[in-house]
Amino acid sequence: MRKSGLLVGTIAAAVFLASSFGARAFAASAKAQITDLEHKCAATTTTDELMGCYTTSDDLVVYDIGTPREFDGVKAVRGDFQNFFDTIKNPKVEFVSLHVVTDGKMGLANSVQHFTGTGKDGKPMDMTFRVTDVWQKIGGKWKIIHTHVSFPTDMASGKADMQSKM
Amino acid sequence: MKRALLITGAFILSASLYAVVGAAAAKGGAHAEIKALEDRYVAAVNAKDVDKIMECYATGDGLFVFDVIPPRQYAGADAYHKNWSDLFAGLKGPVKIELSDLSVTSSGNLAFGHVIQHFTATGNDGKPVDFTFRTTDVYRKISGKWLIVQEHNSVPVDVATGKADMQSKP
Repeated sequence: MRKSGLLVGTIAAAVFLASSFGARAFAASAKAQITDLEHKCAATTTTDELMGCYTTSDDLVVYDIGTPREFDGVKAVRGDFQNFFDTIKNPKVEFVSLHVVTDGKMGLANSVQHFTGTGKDGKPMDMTFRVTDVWQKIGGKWKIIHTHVSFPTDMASGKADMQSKM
Repeated sequence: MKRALLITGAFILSASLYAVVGAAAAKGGAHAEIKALEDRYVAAVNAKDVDKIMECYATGDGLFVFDVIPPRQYAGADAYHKNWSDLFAGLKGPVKIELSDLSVTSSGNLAFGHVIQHFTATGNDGKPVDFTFRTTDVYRKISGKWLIVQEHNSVPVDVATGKADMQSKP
């Protein structure tokens, strides 16, 4: 009985230690993976590439910078991104800030991004916006399940601050 | 030895059963608790009680917000507390907030939700205030309690004109 008690105790301790250390290392590497993906996905230049960052589930909801208020499901989100790439040439994004929180299974990334590009009319575009991405590990791969992009807006005038000044 | 194996097997089986059943129960519990948190938020906003509103959020540096209005970010609970106080100082009489389309996804002690908020009030100048905005909340279970640790509120904007749609029309 004593021997079996010892064995059970040892196994329980080993399981506990492994899960505790494992979870911490797991979360640290997850943070690095999400940080890397945030940069890779912001640098995509085609709709297919960008959609590759997203879940294929129709639970996907995107609150984008433009109207309407939400894009529900993969098809609607794809249409929104297609419209973006059709309208803007040479889009470039640099991160002003990026914060990632994760438990290894879900990840939250909030960032401020400075965007430049050329509009259809040939005019240069220059804006800074806020982005929240929610990541989930699906089938062993990190995918975005929700995105929220916006400018702060003056409620009295209804005018957006497209530089998101501090 | 045989008995030890049996005990070990039973231990592992019960531990994994506990983990599976426990995780499912925790998920249902998490969603109900987060819904209750959002209900407390609505009641506190409708009561214009800033301290009660802030009980829904993490304290100190644990909170980070991108709000509808400038500046672009609020770092820390004190900055956001002031933001709510300033909002109510510009309004008179009752205010009303209504939530719709709340969707919550959780993973252990971390969760996120997105929701549409409709806010109505009367300004100090007597003019009606009426806007609808989009919210993404990140929740974390801290010392057994779910709290909002990150929030992102906004209205969509016509990028060509810089004009916002204050009704966030669908």
